[in-house]
Amino acid sequence: MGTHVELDNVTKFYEGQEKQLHALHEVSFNIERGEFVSIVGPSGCGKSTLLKIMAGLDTPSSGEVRFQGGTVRGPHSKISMVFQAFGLFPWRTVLENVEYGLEMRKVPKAERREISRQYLEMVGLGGYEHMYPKQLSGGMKQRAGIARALTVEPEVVLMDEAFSAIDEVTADVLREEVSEIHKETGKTFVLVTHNLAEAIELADKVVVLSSRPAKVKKIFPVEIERPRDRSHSVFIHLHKDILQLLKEELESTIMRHRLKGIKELHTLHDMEGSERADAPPK
Amino acid sequence: MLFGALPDLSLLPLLVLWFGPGSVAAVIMASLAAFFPIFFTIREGTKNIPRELYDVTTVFKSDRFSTFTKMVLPAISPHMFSGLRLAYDFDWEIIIAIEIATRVAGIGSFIEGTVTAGSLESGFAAILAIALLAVVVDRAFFGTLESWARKWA
Repeated sequence: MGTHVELDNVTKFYEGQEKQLHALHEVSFNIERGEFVSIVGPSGCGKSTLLKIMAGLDTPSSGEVRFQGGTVRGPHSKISMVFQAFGLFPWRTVLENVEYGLEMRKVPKAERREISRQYLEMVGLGGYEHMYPKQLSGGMKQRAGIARALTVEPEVVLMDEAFSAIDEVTADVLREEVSEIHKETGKTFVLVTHNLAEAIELADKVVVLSSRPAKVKKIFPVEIERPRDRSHSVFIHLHKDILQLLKEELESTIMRHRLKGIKELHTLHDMEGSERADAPPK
Repeated sequence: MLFGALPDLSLLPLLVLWFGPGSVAAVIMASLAAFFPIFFTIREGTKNIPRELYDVTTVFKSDRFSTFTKMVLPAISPHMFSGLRLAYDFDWEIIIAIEIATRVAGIGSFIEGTVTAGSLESGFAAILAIALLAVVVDRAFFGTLESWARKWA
């Protein structure tokens, strides 16, 4: 055990054409070795940006992500990723897709084939190795995506909305399997999702982010024994609490925008010099 | 096809003026006609590569060369093949037209010569030969490429 990944005041601005977009604001939390962490937040809040920074696909404007004490400055060989739209190369067979990571590491062909086959078995794609992605269902594609992420023997597996493009029943089965893989391998998992029940079902702790610029709103530890039952009373309460928090967050954002809108309206009136009786005092 | 609107063949008189009526002008003309269909289809293919696939190459630490040969190139290949096929079709037209217009020796000027001389059999035989050649190349070359792409695309 011990801290595996540290997010230290991660802040991100995007330079727009007219104004800056403030995506992340001083996001800090720790991820323990072997922990399963879910990150949830209002849509468009920047949770995927946070994951991309952890993957080394993007860089923070200030602050840093540390992996085993060292600053993450780009893709790391011990940090792997599962993609939302599966990220499979359509011209490669399932096996060729799964061995891609090892191929990039110049692992000899026979060896990488053997390793890839083991992981294909593990995710239940044993008989499908010579099929092309277009011949597979969404759930099977994501199984291949998970196998590919595991072949490179990562210590951290990042999952970006990994179950959101899959039908609900298949996703349910796949979540159970990911939970099993997490238990068996002891790897650290980070899942970004907008599905609250999914976040709670899988995680040791759920990090709730605020609306943009995203800050850590609250961290909820999930102390329910696995395999988890969504009808468990603790589960239901936790779900309710987090949902409540997210709703409040959403409402306060809407209010903020309304106030801003009213202010802008006033400036407009001032500029026009129109005195209106019902205009609130400045 | 050149710059979208300008019919390439309109440049032929200039090319003939500068390079003389011969293979040089013909090759330049054919290259110009072939360039733009290939250029535009490849550009289209490149734009269509999903952002996520670039992320995959980055996460799995692909070097620039591998990213090009193992991701970009296969990803754009269906577009590239149709560009090549277009260019091939255009160039047949262009070459025959140039041969007839500039009387450079070749199958085009052969057709023109025999037909003008009244020997229609030879003219038809030449046309048939071109058609046959075009079909064979189309099936053997583009057919193979496209059936590979159809397997996965």
